[in-house]
Amino acid sequence: MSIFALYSMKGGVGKTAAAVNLAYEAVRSGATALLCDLDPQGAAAFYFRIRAKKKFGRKRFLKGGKHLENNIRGTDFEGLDLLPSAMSFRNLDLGLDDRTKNKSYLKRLLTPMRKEYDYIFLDCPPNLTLLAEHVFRAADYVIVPCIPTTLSMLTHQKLMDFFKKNGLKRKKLVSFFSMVEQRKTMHREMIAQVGERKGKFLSAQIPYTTDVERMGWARQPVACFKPRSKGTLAYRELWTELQMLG
Amino acid sequence: MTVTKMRSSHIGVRPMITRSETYVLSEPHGRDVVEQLALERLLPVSEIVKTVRYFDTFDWRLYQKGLALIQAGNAVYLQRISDGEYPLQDQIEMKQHIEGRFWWMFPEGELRDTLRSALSVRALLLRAQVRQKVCGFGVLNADEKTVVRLFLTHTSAENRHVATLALRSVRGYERDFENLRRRFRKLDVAHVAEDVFERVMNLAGCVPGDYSSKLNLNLNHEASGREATCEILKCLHDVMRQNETGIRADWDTEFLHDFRVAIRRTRSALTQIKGVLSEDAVAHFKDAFRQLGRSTNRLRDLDVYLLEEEAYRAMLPQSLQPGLDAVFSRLKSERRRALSDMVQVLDKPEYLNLMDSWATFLRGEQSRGGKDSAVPAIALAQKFIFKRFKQILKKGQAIGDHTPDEALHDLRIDCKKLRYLLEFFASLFPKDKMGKLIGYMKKLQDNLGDFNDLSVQQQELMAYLNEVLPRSRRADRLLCAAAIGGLIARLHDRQQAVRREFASAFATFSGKKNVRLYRDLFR
Ligand SMILES: Nc1ncnc2c1ncn2[C@@H]1O[C@H](COP(=O)(O)OP(=O)(O)O)[C@@H](O)[C@H]1O
Ligand SMILES: [Mg+2]
Repeated sequence: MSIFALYSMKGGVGKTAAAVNLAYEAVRSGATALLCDLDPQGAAAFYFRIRAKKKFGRKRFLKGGKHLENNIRGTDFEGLDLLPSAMSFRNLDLGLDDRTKNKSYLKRLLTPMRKEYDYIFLDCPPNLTLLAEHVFRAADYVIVPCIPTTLSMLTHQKLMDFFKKNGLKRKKLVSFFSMVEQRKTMHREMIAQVGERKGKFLSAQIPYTTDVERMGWARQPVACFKPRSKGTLAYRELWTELQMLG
Repeated sequence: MTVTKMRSSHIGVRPMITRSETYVLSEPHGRDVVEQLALERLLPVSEIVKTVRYFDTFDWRLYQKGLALIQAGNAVYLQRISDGEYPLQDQIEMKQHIEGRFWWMFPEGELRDTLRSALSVRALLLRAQVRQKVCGFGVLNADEKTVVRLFLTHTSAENRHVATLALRSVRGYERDFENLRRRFRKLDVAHVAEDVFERVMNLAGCVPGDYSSKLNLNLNHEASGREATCEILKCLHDVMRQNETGIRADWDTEFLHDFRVAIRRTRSALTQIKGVLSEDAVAHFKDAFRQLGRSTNRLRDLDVYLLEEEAYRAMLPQSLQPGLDAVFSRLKSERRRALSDMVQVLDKPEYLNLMDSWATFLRGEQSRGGKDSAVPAIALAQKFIFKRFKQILKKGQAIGDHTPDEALHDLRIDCKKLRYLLEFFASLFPKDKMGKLIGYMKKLQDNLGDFNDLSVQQQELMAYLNEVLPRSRRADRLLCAAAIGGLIARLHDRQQAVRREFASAFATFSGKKNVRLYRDLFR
């Protein structure tokens, strides 16, 4: 059982795309998985055509137990379930603030689900607030999509510093290159630089491809409508590597 | 053997929360039904055609636990019958046909553990084989999201067909499931079916649960002693005949065991139910069945020793264990001979004549009979049972720490007789009370049975030590002798312990509660 959080301080780097496709790959290989959408935008649920039940919101989520479990919904794929988000999730921080001292409340909320699923994926909103800290403690691995640009790499460095400063295990931090465009010099150079230092970058990369973009129109994991595309194969490769982690 | 464990397939793992319902369709083209429902948003997602083989023991041990063992292609898995198509645990991959296998011939894992506790010493037989075509559909909502799963299954065997349709809920969309279910229940062409498994088996000409070693009689409360006795004996006759094939084929040891128990029960009925059948006939058949029973003894003894092989070895320190190799290899070759002797007995005209004349006798017994043949069975049962009960109480109370072993052996036989009487006539008395009686009896019978088995085993080993070993030229003769000596000592210790427990086992049996039950029911 492992919890993978798809996280980045930046928006639009491919977190949700990765969460959706990786969860699908996990189930395709025979496991069971739960995808928790923590982003009030609700993109992950959108890709699976799932709407949250009307009464579901921050309060029920934070109550946990049955209140949370009753709002989990099955996707079109057996073995893959999803916990949708709600607009009120934009204030999740408020609820988390007074629950526990050591920022492990989210971890506690997810504990009952550990028995039921082989993997839990957390699709996170792009900021470094209290919720993020709860995510860092709940997750076994924090997976960071990184677009190979100078700016992205700087943000990435900041995250590592944050981990160090707050006594978080840096071993949890794992990155991969996202939306890679080989024809761009900057992308090639950034990847080459990291290649020399290696660090915690996975070797699988997700290329920039219109197939992934079209998920918004198909409302399915890319493997379902483009089973042999570069995007599909890239996520499969990425999942194979993540599976090795735990 | 290539055995690899793999995770359940895409649709394999059982979600925690699912509702399901299965319908039998009254016409074979299930697709029409689906169309008739005018489910405009129905998405075909899968279509699988497969040969499905169902395995169970001769006495349906899996079925009795609500389980079915299935081999489809290379996949082998257990299914809870009430759950429909979900595997109970992860399936395993096995290319070979699993007919004839025992639980220990499966790769280690959950499946094997379940089989172990369910099958015990019995072998798996192929019970039915069918062809199945399963079409999976998603029922979509306005967002084109799957909210209910629907499976249309077409099963066929030997030119017979059955079409079934299963609905399964998707987590969080239970309301959609309930709505669809309500619509299905209103259709004339679909009927809710709880017995899909049985129907599928029937297609292949197989009736689950059609054999049990237990006497499942349902005697008429008004039956005369003669009618009831003939019914009991007819049932035992059928058990003998049903087990012949398995003894010949040597699928497992329990065919012979059940065959023997049926003989013993038959003899016991002939001896104990007095005055009901004609005396000449009773004398004749009692003798014939005694001889038949005797011809099965050696094979059964050998079966028991061989089944105990692991337990015997475990009783000895590692250093002495090789000393048993000679003993067991001898037992194995002796068993081969004993089996062929047994099969010969079954092939002989004497045996066939006995079975035929016995069946004829039981059928024609209506006209003749003993002096009590018209007395109600229930009255006879009460008389015989209460008499035997009093006798056991008296004998048991006389047994102390220094009573010779023979008294215990004697008591064991009396208990067995009582147990048989209770089983013969159980259906004439209230079920719950009979259940209690048997419960009180079990501890005592187990105690006496263990005591007896342990003493027979010691005798057998002593005989080997006295008769076989002195003539042997084996190089490991000394080691053999030591191992046998060690075993005898261990068995003796156990027997002593069992004997010490006798008093408490008997106390339950002779306790106030039990005595009152016997009084209420049989006096
Ligand atoms: N590998 C990719 N190639 C092309 N477009 C992508 C790729 N990954 C994501 N996108 C698109 O970029 C946008 C942002 O991606 P998303 O996964 O939602 O990012 P995040 O969750 O980090 O905000 C979406 O419109 C998505 O379709
Ligand atoms: Mg997102």
